[in-house]
Amino acid sequence: MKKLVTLLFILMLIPGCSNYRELNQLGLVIAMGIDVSKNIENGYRVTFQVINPSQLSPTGATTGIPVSNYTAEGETLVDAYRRASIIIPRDNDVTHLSLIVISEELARKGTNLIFDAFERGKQAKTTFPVFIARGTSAENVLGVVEPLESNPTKSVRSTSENNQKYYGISKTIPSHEVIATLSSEGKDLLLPGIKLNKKLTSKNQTDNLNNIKPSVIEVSGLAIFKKDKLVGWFDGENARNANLILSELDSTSFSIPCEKKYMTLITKRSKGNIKTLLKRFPTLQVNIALNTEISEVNCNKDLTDTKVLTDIENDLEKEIIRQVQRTIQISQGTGTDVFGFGSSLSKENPRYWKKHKKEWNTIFSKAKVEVKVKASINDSGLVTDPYEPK
Amino acid sequence: MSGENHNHIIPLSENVEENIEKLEMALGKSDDLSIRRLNVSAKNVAIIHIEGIVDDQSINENVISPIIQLNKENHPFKSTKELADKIVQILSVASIEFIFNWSDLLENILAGDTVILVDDSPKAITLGTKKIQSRSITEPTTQTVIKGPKDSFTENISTNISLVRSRIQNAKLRLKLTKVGNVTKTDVGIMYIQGNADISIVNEVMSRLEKINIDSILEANYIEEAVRDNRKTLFPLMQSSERPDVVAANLLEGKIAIIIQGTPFVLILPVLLIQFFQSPEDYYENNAFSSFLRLIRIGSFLLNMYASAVYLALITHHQGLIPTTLMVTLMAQRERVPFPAIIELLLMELAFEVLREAGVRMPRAIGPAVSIVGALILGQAAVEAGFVSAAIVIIVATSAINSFTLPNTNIVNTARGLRFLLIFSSAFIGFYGILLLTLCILVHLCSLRSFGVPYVAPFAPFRMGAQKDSLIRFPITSINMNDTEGNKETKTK
Amino acid sequence: MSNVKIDGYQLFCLIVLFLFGTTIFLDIGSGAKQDAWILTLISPFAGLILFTIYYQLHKRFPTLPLTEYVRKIWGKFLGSIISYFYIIYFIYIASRVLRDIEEILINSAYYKTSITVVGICMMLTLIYTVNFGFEVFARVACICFLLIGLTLLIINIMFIITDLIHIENLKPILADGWKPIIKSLPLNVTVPYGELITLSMVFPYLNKQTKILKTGIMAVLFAGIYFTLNILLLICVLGTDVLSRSSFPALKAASFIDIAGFIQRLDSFVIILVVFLGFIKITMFFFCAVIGMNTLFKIKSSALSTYSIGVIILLASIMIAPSYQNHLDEGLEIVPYLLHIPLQIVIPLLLLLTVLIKGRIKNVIT
Repeated sequence: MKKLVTLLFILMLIPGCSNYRELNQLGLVIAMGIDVSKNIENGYRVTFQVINPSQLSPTGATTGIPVSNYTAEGETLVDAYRRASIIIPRDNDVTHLSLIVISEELARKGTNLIFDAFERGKQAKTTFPVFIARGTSAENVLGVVEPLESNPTKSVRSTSENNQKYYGISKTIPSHEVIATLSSEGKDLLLPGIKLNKKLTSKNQTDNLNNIKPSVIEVSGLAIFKKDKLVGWFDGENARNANLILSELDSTSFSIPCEKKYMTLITKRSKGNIKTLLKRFPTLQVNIALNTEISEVNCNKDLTDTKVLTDIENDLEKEIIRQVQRTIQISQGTGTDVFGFGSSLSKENPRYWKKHKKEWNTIFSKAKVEVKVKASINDSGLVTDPYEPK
Repeated sequence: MSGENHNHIIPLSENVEENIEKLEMALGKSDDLSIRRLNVSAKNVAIIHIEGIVDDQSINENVISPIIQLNKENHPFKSTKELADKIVQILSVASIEFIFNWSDLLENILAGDTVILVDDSPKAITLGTKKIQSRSITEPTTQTVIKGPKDSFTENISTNISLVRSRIQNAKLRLKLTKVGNVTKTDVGIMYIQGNADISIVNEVMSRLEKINIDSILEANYIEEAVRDNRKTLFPLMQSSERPDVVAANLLEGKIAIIIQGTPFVLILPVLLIQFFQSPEDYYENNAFSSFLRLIRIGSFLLNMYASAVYLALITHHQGLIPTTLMVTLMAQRERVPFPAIIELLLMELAFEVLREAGVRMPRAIGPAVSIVGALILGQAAVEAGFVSAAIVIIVATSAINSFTLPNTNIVNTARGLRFLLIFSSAFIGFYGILLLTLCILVHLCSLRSFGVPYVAPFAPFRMGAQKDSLIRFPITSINMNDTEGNKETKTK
Repeated sequence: MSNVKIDGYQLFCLIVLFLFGTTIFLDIGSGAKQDAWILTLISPFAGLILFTIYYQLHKRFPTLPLTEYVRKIWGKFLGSIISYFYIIYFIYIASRVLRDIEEILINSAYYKTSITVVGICMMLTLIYTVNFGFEVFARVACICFLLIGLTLLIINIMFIITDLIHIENLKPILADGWKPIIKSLPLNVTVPYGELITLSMVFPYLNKQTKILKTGIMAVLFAGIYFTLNILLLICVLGTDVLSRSSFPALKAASFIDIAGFIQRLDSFVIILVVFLGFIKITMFFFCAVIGMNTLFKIKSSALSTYSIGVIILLASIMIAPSYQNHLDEGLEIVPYLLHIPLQIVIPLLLLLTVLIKGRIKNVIT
């Protein structure tokens, strides 16, 4: 009896190998670009970027392009994904998906529940970042191989990461955070934008690789969402300031005027903190603390004098206050609370929040803004005074 | 068998020639039977031994020449008894015994004793002149250390006993000898320290040894297979060591050693799983360092067992778990490989087993050549030709190298067996299969006992005190040897 | 099985792992939202009361399992029926837990494998284990405790390293008052603490009878504290919105971990834990069913009952619910009220009362 039952079980196990897949049957999807469908109403046009492993062989010389893009349309993402099998020759695998690009056109119409497929899906992880293709289609953004990086997915991610390290316009937002923000109260979504710096000059990708001024990925501002709809953009400085307020800035540089020229300070550490004070009406309060370093001075200043340094600190603080206020005004102008003042209020003052959460966006747009900045200069580089041309 | 029992009752004849004739019959007129006939005071005296297993010089100087001398002195002996007594007195041999029946006579002669038969006497005198040719003590070949004693056991049981005795000069060290094997009559000794070892286990070992009913004992494994607790297991339930220091240390911890004539491997029992990861060197080096090495060894063992199965699970079932960059590299490698991953892996594993076997069998002079041809040239060529992917060569080689870190070869063979099982379950259902098989192995380990002691002892059942010398080793002064490992377990039993 | 002996430490490991069971992966106390941790902090005390009831009953019949002393207390006929119900209950819960594990696997890594195959593999392992008897199982639990403890520690450290913890998710505390907490309390006491009823089947096999109460209390409190820390962590990492929407919050949270782009997808570690803990839990129920069956029907060979119960659990696990959602609904809405509360709380309480009253009457008479 014992052996019979065991044997029976083992026999029943034989069809269980259905999860077995060989590596050379796989088509690794590393990026997805989502556009508005041209043929299907309310449908999606999805571009799948699939790795071509034979071009990445460690021994053989690579001649071709390491990725191929396949585009398919469908009513939903999964529908498009399944339909894509009419052109993709291999078993799609989205477990390594590491980038999602959504076109601005689609974002303006509303992303809706686009992320549901990723959250529900059993395969894809939800740690990949999401970007908005600004003023262009996701298909185009994913269609350029630049000389420095092996594939478009990598160039988007590394350009964005590099920008975060040096200036801080862009930021990497994993999709699970996108979902968390969309589903939470009192905070709206900000997503980084990307575009091509110029159009591809020729259809042949290798021409771009051989061009000394190739067309490359460019990070471009932060998209402001109201619920799931894109309503505006933070550009350049404003995007940087938004990150400063959200305390998500690695490092950036501020230029402040001095004697008709400029001097530049780079931040070494910065911390932003938001609070919503409730005195009859909510007041939005932003506290920012920065450590900076003087890294270029194009005017004559006696940097050995601590008083001069204090003046510079004051100038910097004023400059930042001016910039941050402008940034928040943009946000108030669109009526979207991307910094999470509402969420902060809901935690500090749940009763007030419950009463007013419906009209929060209007309250937010009219609320008073207080910005406090504490900047300190720690370092002025390897020289004290700038050299004087004599 | 029946003849032996028959002999047992038969007393010796009082006529020397009759006895000799019978003896020659019994041994089939074996040519190495040496019989020296003498005549002392008109009585026939015969000195009998088998050539090659006796000390010739001692027989000549201490047995034959005194008897000839006695003959020359021409004593008048009143009786045969007096003559026999006189002979006993003049022999300068350490051990002398009297025997009265045939079976003892045969047994003693075959064991290397010299027998003196005297006319008209019902008893024979046996002299302990045993001297078996054996090699000298050399360095251990299978369990080498960098620092520590360099001697190892030989095939001679008395040498081996002396090696242990010289390390533990204590009255409580006990030795019990018995003979095992219906045909070979091999000497088997049990050593333990009175007071440290659990006496019930000693008795259990004795009774199990007595129950052994096989013809021959040629190596320690014969005993091991005959007396172990669980026959259906891949795990070794006894430890075998060729190092006297290991045996001495284990005796001090309350273990029991079985020493067998004819093999340099001494069995140690009861044994715990963790012991197979402990090298004698652990105690000869700084404790922090040796603890680290011990953890490395356990890690190596696990890698050796699991590396190929986990790799297979990753590339065939759980591609999502591989970091993307690595994944792309692996895909690029496998692009041209014609075999499915499981076949590729099994091929490489088997190739390695073949190489290992060839390395052992090869004459020593060309051994290195095999490894160079096998490992370097074949491996390289197979990868370049696209037969196998480079990753699989790396995995198989890594798991092989890891197996060499273990101080004890018994457990390595276990890992080899389990590795194949794991590979199959991994090919079948990925990590889930590996996990369930691991659970089964755990359950199996927990069910094992070595002479009544739970095999995974310091962990389950958990003993805090014994943790000082299990996964890591505390300074020697803080380890109470009597408290370690299975000892406590056996005492509370 | 009568000469099986287990010491206090093994009992501790067994209880803790049994309580961990599938509970630490499923969404516990979701009704209380961000205050779920208060709930998990309170429920072990209710659990302790239950444990004491089971222990008091055991103390009066130190050599008998639950299914036997029921018959002693309430007579052969009624007692046998109740014992029979208990056996069915153990089998049913075992198959529910098996279903949980099957679903979690099918939903994560084995989306192409059939549920039957996953179940059969597990069942083979379970039968193999049960055949070795309870003592071996207790030792396995002892080793698993060390392994699981280590893995949990590593995962929790990873959460801290990756900076995923947002403490502000815990605010506001008690925004909706105590109501939701009290509402979901019964559910949190029956699972897992009420399931300690299984212990009353194995108490007779324990070595040091005096230590049972102390060890049990320690284990229950330990589990309670861990649950609290665990749910605090989950709330901090996921936030209440995501927490309440995901079927397996622990898997989701672990999948967020990403250190330097290399250490990621730790959810697979969590799945390893699911299998280990689920294994312990099912084996425990399995054992209870086998012990109950053997004593009730006076079966001599354990193998017969083991194999037949194994097959039943396997088949039941696949057939009890048509879909996972159904399975969950049954677990949340029917099972607690129809099975858990009567069998875990009401019957043991009544038994204890009967014993106490009988004792009184005897005292009065003598």
